[in-house]
This record gives sequence, C-alpha cells and structure tokens, in this order.
Amino acid sequence: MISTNSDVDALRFSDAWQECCTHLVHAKYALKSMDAFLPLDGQKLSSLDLESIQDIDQLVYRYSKLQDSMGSKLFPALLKVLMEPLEESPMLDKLNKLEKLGVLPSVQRWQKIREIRNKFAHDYPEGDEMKAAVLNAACSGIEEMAEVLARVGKAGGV
Amino acid sequence: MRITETERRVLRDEAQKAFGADSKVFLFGSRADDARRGGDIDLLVETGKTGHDAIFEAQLRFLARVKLALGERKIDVLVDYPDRKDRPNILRLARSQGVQL
Repeated sequence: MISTNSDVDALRFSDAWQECCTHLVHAKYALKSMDAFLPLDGQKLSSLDLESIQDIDQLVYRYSKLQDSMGSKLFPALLKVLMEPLEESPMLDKLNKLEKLGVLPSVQRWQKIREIRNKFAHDYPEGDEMKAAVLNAACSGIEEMAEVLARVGKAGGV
Repeated sequence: MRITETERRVLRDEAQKAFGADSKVFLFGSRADDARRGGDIDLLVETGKTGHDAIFEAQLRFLARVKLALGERKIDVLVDYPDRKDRPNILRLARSQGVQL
C-alpha cells in the first residue's frame, strides 16, 4: 500500500491527539487529588504535606506538557489535516486561524494559558502567595485546555 | 534604554490597562543599559492593585496583550503591590536602577 501525504498528516494528528489526551487524564487526576485544598493561598501552600506537594508537582508537569503538546504538535497537525497552508507562518497566525475556525475561544485567552506555563518554566523567585495564585490559575487553565481539546477533536474528526 | 518607541508605548499602555491607571513601569537589567546588547526585557510594575490572584491575572493579561501586539518577546515581570509580603532584594535593585517607561 502506498501511503499518501494526507495519511501521514492524519496519523500525526491522531498521535498528537492521543498524547494530549494522556496528559489531560493525568492532569485531571492531579486536580481531583487537590480538591480538598483548592483554591490555594499562601498559608495553605506552606503547610501542605509531602503527598499533596507531589500532587501539585504532577499538575504542574502535566499542565506544561499539555500546553506544549497542544501548541507545538496538535494545533499544527490539525491545520494540516484541515489543509490550511500555514506551516511556515508564525504561531500567532496559526492561533488566529484556529480562532476563526472556532477551535480557540480566543487567541488572547490561549496566550494567557501559555503565560502560565512560562511562569512555571522560569522567572523570579516568588513568595507562597504568588505561587498559590499561579497554581489557582493553572487549575482553571486545565479546564479550559480540556474544552479546547474537545473542540480540536471535533474539528479533526476524532 | 534599548527598546523601541513602539515597545515603550505598548508596555506602558498595556501595564496601565492591566494594573490600573496609577501603575508605573520600570525597565531594568540589560535592556536599560545602553552599553549592552540583546537580552530579556526585565520589567518592574508598581501598582496600587491588591490581592495575589488579581495581581497574577493582571500579569497574565499584560503579558498576553503585549505579545499579541509586539510578537514573541522574552519578558520577565516583577510586580510590587501593597499586600506583597515577600520582598526579595531584586525588587529594591530593580527600583533603584530602573528607568520609568
């Protein structure tokens, strides 16, 4: 059997989709484990036990992975499947196209979700109050990514 | 100061939209130094806004809008606000060497 380019694109999309779904399952599980102490504040954060901190670490890890995989793999793969010629375009053009297609509720909102991940990846040391605020934002970010993921699935025909 | 006039205006305007009209933005670090090259854009925002979650939301809004306007940039933001409890040395350093935008 000769595989065509569009077979490859479809395969790439479904791989990226699977990968994102896996990250989401783990992120949601972490979120559930954190239920007892959400929303966080500085006080609560500083008095958590080791197990709860592991749950938070898992959330941070899966949040970062999910956001990264959606942006760098899933979105480009979806645009290819939908025959949108944006391969060489800047990320922002891709996001604008996804907003037009109704996959992203808003480019600005996605940019915020991305900034939360940047916050995990670097930046100045912050006190527990700000760390708690970042984690609270990440928890709602997971729900929003789940919503976007569902729309991507619909658009890509999964 | 090594940022363009457009960058300066976008950074200042978006900071005031996100953190309130009374907020001030300072550029510090390598971009504030004419003798150096490249580097991240290091900012200190001083605001009268309070509440850690509200401050973080403002920070997200600021970074998202700036990057939508200017394209991808490496920007680090420090925020000084009335109920901020931890006061790392970098806050003081940023304020003393920062150039207001």
